[in-house]
Amino acid sequence: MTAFTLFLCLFCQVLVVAGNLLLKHAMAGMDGQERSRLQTGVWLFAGIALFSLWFFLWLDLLTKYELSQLYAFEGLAPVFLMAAAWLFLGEKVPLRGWIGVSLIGAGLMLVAGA
Amino acid sequence: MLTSDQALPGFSLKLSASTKAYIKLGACAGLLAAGEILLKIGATAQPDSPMTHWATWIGIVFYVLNFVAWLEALKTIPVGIAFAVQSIVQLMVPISAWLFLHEQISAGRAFGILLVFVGVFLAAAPSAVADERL
Repeated sequence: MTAFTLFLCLFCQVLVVAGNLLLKHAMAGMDGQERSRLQTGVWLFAGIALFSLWFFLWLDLLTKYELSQLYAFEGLAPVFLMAAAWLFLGEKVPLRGWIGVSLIGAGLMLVAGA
Repeated sequence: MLTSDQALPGFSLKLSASTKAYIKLGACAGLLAAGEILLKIGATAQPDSPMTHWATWIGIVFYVLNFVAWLEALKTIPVGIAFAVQSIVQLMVPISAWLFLHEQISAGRAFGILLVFVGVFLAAAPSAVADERL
């Protein structure tokens, strides 16, 4: 895998995590929680936009690389979730989380090279 | 007198709410893995324009169904448990790719995939906490 492909794989997972969070908030708005219709609409639109971008990037990667290699990068989703909670909310990552991140990191280095 | 319930005790199909939720979660995993395989089939068959291939479109439908089933399952199952169950997809996809698409998986890649799976499983609970706060 080239460095650029690796970057695209990482970027894809950032899009998936961000898209999921946006859609989650949009759904909560549609369930009648205190959010304005405009806010819900913006979240919904942004979520769908991120997922569309992710889809075409992912499909392009699939034309060039094997699925068994690419799919391992989906393992980054929990890593980015914990990183976002740490970055934006100051949440601490517990030991269990760090062990998980280390295993995912080591596994991905093996998969990227093989 | 036997009622139909007594006559056929093994055939009563009354599933509890949590059993139904786990069936939905299982459907999620299956739909996701099948969706990925279909996208790969479309991308391989038409590398220049995967959107013109039928498999790509069925893959998209599976993705959307997966998303609906996921939201339904989460109404009953805690996010942390759902994430942990869902980590099995990390193994289902490469095994399906090997089985149905005949991808060659080297020992190094197989070991890497295994490490990622264990990592995702361990990180399920803390990442679910992160997901709920974000």
